[in-house]
Amino acid sequence: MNRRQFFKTSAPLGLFPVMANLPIKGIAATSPLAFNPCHVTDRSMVIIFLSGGNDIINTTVPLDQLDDYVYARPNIHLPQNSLIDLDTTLPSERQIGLHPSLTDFKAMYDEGMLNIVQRVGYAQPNKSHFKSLDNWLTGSGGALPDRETGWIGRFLSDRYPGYSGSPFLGEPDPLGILLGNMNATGFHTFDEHKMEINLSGQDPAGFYTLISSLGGAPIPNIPNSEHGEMLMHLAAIDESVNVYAERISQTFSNGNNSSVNYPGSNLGDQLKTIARMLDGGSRTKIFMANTGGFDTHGGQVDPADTTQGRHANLLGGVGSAVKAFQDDLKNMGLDQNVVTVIFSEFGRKIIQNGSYGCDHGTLNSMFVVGKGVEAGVHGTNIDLTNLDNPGAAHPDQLEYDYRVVFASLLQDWLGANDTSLANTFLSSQYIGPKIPLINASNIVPSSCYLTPTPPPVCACMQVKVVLQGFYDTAQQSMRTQLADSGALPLAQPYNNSPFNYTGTEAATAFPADTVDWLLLELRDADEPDQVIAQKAVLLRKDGIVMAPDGTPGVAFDGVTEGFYRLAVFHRNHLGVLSSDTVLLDAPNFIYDFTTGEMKAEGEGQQTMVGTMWAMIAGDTDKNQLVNNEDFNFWDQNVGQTGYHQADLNADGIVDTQDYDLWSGNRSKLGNFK
Amino acid sequence: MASISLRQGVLGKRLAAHLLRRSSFKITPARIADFATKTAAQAVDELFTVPSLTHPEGPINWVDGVTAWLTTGPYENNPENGGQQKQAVLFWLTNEMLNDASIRHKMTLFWSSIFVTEMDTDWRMFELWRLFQQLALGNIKTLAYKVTLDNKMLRYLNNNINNKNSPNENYAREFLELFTILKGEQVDTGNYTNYTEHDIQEAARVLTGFVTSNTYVDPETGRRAGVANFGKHDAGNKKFSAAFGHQHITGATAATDMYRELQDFVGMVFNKVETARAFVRRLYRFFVSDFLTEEIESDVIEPLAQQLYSDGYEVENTLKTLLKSVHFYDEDDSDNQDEIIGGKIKSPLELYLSGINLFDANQMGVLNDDPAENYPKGSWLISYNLSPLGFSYYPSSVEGYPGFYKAPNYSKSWFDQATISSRYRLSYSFLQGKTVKNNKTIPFAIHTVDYFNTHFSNQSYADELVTQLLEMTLPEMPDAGRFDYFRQKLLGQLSPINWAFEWANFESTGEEAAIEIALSDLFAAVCDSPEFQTF
Repeated sequence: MNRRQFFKTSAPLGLFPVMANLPIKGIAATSPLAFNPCHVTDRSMVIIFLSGGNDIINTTVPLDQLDDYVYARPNIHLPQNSLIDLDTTLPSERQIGLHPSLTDFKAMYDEGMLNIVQRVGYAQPNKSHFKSLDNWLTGSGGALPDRETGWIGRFLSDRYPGYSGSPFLGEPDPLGILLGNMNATGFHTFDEHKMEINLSGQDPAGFYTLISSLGGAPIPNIPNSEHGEMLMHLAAIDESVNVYAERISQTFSNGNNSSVNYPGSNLGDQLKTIARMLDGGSRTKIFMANTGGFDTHGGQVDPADTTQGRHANLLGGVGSAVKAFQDDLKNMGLDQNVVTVIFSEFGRKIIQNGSYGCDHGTLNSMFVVGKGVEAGVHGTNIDLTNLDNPGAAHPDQLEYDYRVVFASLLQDWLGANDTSLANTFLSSQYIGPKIPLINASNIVPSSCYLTPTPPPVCACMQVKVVLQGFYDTAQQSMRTQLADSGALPLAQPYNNSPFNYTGTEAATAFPADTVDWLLLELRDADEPDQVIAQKAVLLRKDGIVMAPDGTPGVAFDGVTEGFYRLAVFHRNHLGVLSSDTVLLDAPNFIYDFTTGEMKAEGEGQQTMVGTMWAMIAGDTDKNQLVNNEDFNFWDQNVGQTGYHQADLNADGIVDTQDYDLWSGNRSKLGNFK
Repeated sequence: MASISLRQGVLGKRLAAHLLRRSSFKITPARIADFATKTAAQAVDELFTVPSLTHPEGPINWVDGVTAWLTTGPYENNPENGGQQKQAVLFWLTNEMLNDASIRHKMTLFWSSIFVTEMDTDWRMFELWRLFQQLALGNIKTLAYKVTLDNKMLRYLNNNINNKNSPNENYAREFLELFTILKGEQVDTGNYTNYTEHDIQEAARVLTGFVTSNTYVDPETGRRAGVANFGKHDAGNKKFSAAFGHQHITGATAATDMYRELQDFVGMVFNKVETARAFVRRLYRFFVSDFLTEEIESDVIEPLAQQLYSDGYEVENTLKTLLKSVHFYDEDDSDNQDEIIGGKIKSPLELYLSGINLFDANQMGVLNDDPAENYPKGSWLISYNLSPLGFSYYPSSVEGYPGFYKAPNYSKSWFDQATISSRYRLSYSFLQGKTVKNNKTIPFAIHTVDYFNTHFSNQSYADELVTQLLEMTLPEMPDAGRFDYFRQKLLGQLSPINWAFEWANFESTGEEAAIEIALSDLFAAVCDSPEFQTF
């Protein structure tokens, strides 16, 4: 099995840890992504969705077809003298007259940071808001079958395997953040539907506050009742489990917007939040924002003055919000790092309707904004006379599939290579020809395409496991008295029945924070009864397994590379077996038993201490069963001190606290031997 | 003052849904509508009308596709098909729970959470569940006696190896401490008010010599059961402490007499009113509320315990009284919206199994149809849906499920850091027909358009559609702001007019794609909401 297949098959376990992963601190140094001279790692993309279907014809009026324009739209066309000439140096078939309220777009174009891609969409366009948006977000539409997952989610999980939902692996920020109240289809992935959302870890549905949570938006008014008490409990768990909440709050609090005046609109607020988080150090790769109201079936314009009215206000709002965002980024010195893309689920009909508006159409334009953007216009103006039956631009006019636009940006701006693009869009047909949207000084050279590799932490495998009895809830770590008091033997203690392990592991002096010895075993992946290799290791108080010299991780001698299961034994806790395979010889591989009960094979094989799952205490006679025999052994040894197997809590004395641990676990059956 | 007097008048939708959520896994849109027109007495009596089991023969052998695997012929305990048997049993049990319109399988779950045995992989677990089904609404004393002789229990709590030369107290201790009278306050060394360490030793002596049997069939239940082995029995007389009035139990004189001796012991324990109180408190926590105050203790628990005791531990009428009472519907004081309703967190079965019926998502089919194809899904259901939600058909501790017994959190224990992501992934499971972990295809999926088209009316009105969904799914109707939040999930950034347009388009063309997206978004927001976690 090659490494790719491995990622695929074991994604739910090691690489996309479930949300049971609480904020896990210190399993490895939180080193950032490997240093990249191309600075791709500092870059972000902001996607703005204009909900409802923006009327592209009145947004960018085709100056080469003004007669046809007036003819198609007798009541809602914009007067020629009101239009803003975007760029008179362009060929006539690309000459655009911007809507008069888009002065900010004109300013950004003149500053060399706006590119407009015309005739964008997909073949066989769908005119339902819901379905068309779904296509845009999932990467569907056209001849290929509909996709269930989102292309953004697919891109992120392909480019950053193992990072999603695992801040401790080196990326402190969620990979994607969704703002505004819209569904998160674009971020969905197959393996962990929820993981790619906040991004990753939170709820797809309700991201309209800065810190979203699982279970949708928080309930604003919780009633004062028993029902309310339950809802409060849910909210409290939500909060504690949100692996990114603290980090998001942190970047938000640390950031400061500059003195720029954002419009007091919903979109303005969203962009202001993004700018502030970026200033606060966020390295989130993709932000998604949105604003609505573009479904202008009626009352699109003021009949007395078509340059005024609803559509004018909508466009002006977008322009001022995006311009303020750009100015803010510039003041912060971050404008090098951000590219913004604006899209809408479809354009509107070319032929107006009878209500001073127009109905659902087909082709649209996308707007790309940023200091790294190559200003210009791609694609010819929509031909206003080539219509489909209900009066929208004929789908044959399609020039750029929207996926090609995104693919061009993912490669030239975020450094995705062709393989990654194919994985993102589940087809290689959108890789090119690339549209040159990024300017020469900012385009990612192919030599710099990002290949993020999590930093090696040891030439071995990492394991994290906690012993229930040894765990001190007040300290939030395991007790180290045995080593501190000199009771812990320097040589591994599993050389007796039933383990009879004859290895010679020994410490000359215990590393800091040593708790006790463990016996680790590699088992056959398919037949876990079969022992492949054994190794005695030391357990650190935070649950990290280490070699006797203190190096984190475990290396098994004389074992071939491949997939195994991992068993962990302790002299007075029930043993655990990994519920999934572990990969040996992968320096980054981590198997963390503490993140879920189900990380140990079988039913009820772990118990919770604090926020972690732990091996079950009480098996003083090492027979993988907590029963009366263990009680009897305890009873015979009450008062004994030192390194004693009836001392279930490792405080150096056999006493009633050990009884309590036994009592709580009695009749527990170990799952294996 | 709390009151268990009979609630009068028809229930209405809110209370009908409350009753159904608490007392059956078969909560459907049609049943809510039906119960809404009934009185509490009518509705509860209907829930207590227990039909015969749909598949008394249990699962069939998936190899030959014919033989009733676990109810006929010699039992195999063959490790090669042990895993298949387990899958078969899990599939069978899920099928029974989903299809039973009565209260029986809620009670079955209740008993399994009291008379606890941990996971097992062979026919023995099937037998124990059958016992819980048979005596679901029966006599608790009889159940306690039969459970003691159950093969799985005999093995699990080591009574199998409890003999006169080497007594093992494990079962005796749990029987008193966790199963029946429960531990009282410790008033002296080894004295737990309700019993003493001495009583445990004497009880263990009574229990010596009861061993497992693969062949003996209890004629009263038709189930395999353990048997008496007089050679291993401590035949001496037993003398209990003051806690049991210094009662003597005469030692058995032969194997057949051992059953009499065991009956005497069980009878002695159940002769204490405290045992009745213990069961009523647990019924109350299971069916009614986590919040058991002193007022409820005196006004609800005590009279019901007296009823249970005077009924000779026949549980049916006591439970009926409780579920028909004004207290159960929070109508025993002036504020009818501050207690009980919505005041518990759903166990994974209430969340998932009840959800299957509520969302008309059951495509499981007939139990013994194509077992080779279907049985593995029983196992997936457990491993990849219920386990991540924090549930297996056997609790992982002898004390039971923390959500049912563990103070002070009780039902809150179901919802913790370990289960949160799976619980909030339920809509995914229903929408995709896949398990929350590992994406296994399972026969439980909502067809959103059909669902809203079939079970709802006036669907083109966004407000009415959302209202109907919330009435069925949430214990309390949310306030206006929260309602708008859900409505917006349906509408996105669009207006109700636009929704009406989309629905009309669906009705005229049959084109589902557009409305399916909106309906799925609404469904997901409700299904994954905190409110839906409560009941």
